Amino acid sequence: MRNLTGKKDALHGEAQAAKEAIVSFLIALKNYGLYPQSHAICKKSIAIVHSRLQDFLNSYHSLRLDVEKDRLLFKSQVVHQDAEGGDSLAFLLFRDGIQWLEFETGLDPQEIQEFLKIMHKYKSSQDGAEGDFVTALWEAGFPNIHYKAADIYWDSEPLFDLSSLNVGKVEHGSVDEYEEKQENSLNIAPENVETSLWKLTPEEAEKLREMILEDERRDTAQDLLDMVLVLLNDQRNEKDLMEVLEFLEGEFQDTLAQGDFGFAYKFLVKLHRVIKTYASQRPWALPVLYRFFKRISSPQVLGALSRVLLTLDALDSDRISLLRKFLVLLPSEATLALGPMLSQLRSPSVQRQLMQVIAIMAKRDPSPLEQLLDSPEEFMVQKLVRVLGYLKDEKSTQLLLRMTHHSSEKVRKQAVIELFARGQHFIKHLFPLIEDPSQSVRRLILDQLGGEKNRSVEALLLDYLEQARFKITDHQHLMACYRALGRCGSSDSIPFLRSLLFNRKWILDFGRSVHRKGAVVALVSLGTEEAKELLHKASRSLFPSVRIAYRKALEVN
Amino acid sequence: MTDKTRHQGADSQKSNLQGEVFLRAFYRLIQTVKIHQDNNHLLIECAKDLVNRMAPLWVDEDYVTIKVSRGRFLLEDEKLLYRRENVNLIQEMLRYFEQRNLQGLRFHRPVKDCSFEEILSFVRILNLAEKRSEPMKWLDQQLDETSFLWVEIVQDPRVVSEQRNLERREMARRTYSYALSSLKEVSEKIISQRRPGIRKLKRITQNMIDLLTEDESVLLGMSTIRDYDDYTYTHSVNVAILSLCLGKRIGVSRVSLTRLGVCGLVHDLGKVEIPREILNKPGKLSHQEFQEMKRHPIKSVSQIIKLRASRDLKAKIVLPPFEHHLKYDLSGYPKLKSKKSISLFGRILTIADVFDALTSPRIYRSRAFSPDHALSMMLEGSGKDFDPILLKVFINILGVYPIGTFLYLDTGEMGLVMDSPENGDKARPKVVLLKDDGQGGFKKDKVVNLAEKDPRTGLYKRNTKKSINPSVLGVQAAKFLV
Repeated sequence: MRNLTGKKDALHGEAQAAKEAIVSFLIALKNYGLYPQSHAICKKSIAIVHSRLQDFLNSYHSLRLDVEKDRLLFKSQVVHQDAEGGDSLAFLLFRDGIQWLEFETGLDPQEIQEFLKIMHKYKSSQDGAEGDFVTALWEAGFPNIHYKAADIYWDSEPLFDLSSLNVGKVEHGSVDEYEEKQENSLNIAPENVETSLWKLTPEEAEKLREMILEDERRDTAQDLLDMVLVLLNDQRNEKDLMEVLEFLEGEFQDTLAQGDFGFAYKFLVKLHRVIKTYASQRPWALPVLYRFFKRISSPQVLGALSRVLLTLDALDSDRISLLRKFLVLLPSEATLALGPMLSQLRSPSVQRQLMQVIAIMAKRDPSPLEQLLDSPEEFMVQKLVRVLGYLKDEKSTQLLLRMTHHSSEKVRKQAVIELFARGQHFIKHLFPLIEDPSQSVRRLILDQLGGEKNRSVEALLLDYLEQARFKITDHQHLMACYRALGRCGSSDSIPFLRSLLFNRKWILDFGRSVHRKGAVVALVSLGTEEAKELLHKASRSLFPSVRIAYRKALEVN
Repeated sequence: MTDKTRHQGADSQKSNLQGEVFLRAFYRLIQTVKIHQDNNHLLIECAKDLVNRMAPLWVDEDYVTIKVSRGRFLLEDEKLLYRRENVNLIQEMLRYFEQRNLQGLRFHRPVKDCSFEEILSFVRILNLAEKRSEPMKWLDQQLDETSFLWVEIVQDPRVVSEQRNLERREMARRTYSYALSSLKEVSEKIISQRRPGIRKLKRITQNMIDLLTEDESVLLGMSTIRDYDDYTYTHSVNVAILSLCLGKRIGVSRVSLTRLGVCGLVHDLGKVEIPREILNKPGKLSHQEFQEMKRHPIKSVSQIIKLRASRDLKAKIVLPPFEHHLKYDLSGYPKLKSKKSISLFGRILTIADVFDALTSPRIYRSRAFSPDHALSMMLEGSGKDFDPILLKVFINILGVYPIGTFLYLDTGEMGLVMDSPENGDKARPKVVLLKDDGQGGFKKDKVVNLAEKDPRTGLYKRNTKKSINPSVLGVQAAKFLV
């Protein structure tokens, strides 16, 4: 027999090791509250807990902790005391009814990690309406962590008394009559009862196995939405309807996340029918339903589409078509969610479909689109300007004209393209862009101005060149203006061009050569007999400066 | 007598004497510890003496076992002989063991390394056990807490099994009771416009699954509980139990079983919204009343959606209650345009729901069907109302005569089916015989197996004449089963 001191020392050593394990555990739990679980500090904490517990278990096989309200005991010795206002490890376990907790040899870091996750979850959860630490431990089914829990929720309840329950003894008719009635019906248990009634054939056993697998794989989102549609028809008051719609919102979002556009389409069609029914029978519900439609069109719900849309390409034409069919059933507010997706999409065909959907929505109500046009997202706004191009109404024109003043060069340019695509009606509005800071916008404008013979454009250009010619320092731009004048111009421009080319009063003007050159370019572009005569005259001019201008202009042209 | 047998006899005599010496040392210690403090020299000597007396007995094994069997002490399965000198000692010790329901003790070799305080502490616990209402249970708990690795209580496996059985029955009773009260609480909260959570229902379902894993028949026995006055609550708990049994048998994972059990508990929650006049109407419902009644699965869904839980969890438990009257071929209610088959859990709930309903006394039906007749009726709807494969499995679990069926036997005896044979003849279950208690009721008699044959004639000793639902006789089957 060992002496008392030896025994005490051993117990002390054991308790000390238990304490160390618990301390490491507490630190890990704290870190779980401070850092994400994938953080190196959390991972390190788990490694330390595992190592401490492993050391303990290697020496003593199991660590069983008895739980009291604010402390943990190991072999009747206190190994942890909850600090006041600090950690409450013992109380957390005690609160949910844990009586003891045991860690056994074989414990791996994964188990510890999961265990900590559960502890952390229920440490911060004050509600626990759908479970607690004990239910979570049960579900986790740890192979090396055992526990015993008390039925704390029913502690103060008396057990029911079986004899107090009424089994419904005979009141109507006699037992004999009953037996007679029952004997007339089929009975499963005749003398030689067939075992096939309860024994599965190998085929049935296989079918059962498949049935279970199939059910595990089954996407219940559709079933749930079908169910909710039935449920919706049964609602009699606003509060209940709102509850159902709230649930529905989540299910709808799940369906979107799974990319089932076909079902989403059918669902919305049915939902529209439900609305019609409500309109005639329960008009009080309409505002609630409309609000619901707005909610499912919000970025929070439709955002679920982003990831799915990235996986689509032109080959998924059927799905893309379903996507379009489904989206157009949403209210115009969906634009606020769909617009930002444009900049993320890789597939041009998906992008195009989305833009067309937005256009359809804008026809119903342009305000969400208008709202998005103010966004600083250049790429999205550029795409939305293209969408405006699909619309041919007055509002879209106004918006396009507004967009020609946008801070982004690309957006302005797109707006100009879309406006010119509508013809030359907006030329006066667009003409000021001839001085746009962006060269590409200027070029686009001039290309458009010089696109065809047009007296109005000619007049504008003549006026511009007469008024602003001394201010223009960009020779390239100046040449482009003259070229455009030539292309759109007529005999009306000849006097102005002749004067530029031959007027001697200008001889000392600085930069006159560039205008002479411009006049040559314009005359070449003009290409009329009168213009050709002037050019011929210029080529034979006595003044070298005119001849040089002629020659250089031809080189450039 | 040969030399060999003479030699064996001498050995046996020697070990018998050693056993007697050990028993005497044990007796001395038991008595001395009652008088002295731990630091008493004599007491310490007694403790040392006990350990020393064990030493010669550790020759073949690392432990020594002393147990009581049929009024005799056995030392390593060898009877301790009575001698004139030891009669008093043995009788005293037998009484000591008997007062504590103690069947035996096993001392392991590490006892020689433990402190004498530990030995004294153990003996004091042994002495105290006598005063406890359940000395063995208390002793077991105490030793469990102290974690003495050198001593263990030896129990007859039959006794251990019976004790465990009792514990399971107790747990089953508690679980059923808590399930009922939790369900009532949920309903009351709904009625008073509050939002109940499902934590308790989840926890109780997990307890049911634990029980089911250990002993299916105990839980099935509980599912025979009937309450005519408050049908919906017992019905819901019974449906949960029956669904869990079916789910477990077909291999549903334990986490999914929790979901299935909770579905069973809440499947009729919508009935809180059905007017009581309709729920409790004797006789046939009018068309309008029936239409209202048919709305209860939808109402259940509405109530489940309002529970205080995450949408994810609610989405997992809402569908089967919605489907439980849809029927396998979707010909039931509520009417659906979709032709998708109902979910696995929906099909399970349908079977459990109908079985419990048919076997329960209801206000609109003068009698409940006997469980075997209920199964027969359900078989008629196999493939139409019920999934045929699941129904087969269900019958396989319950047997031809399900637990709780009241049987009239050809011997003139009456019995309640208490277990369905796992293998063998499903029509010949174990039954607990019931006798007239002289007060218009019944009392429990012995348990018999209907598969038992008379060895002389080769014929079955007992055959079933007819079956009946126990409620017809006013019998609460569970009272005799758990």
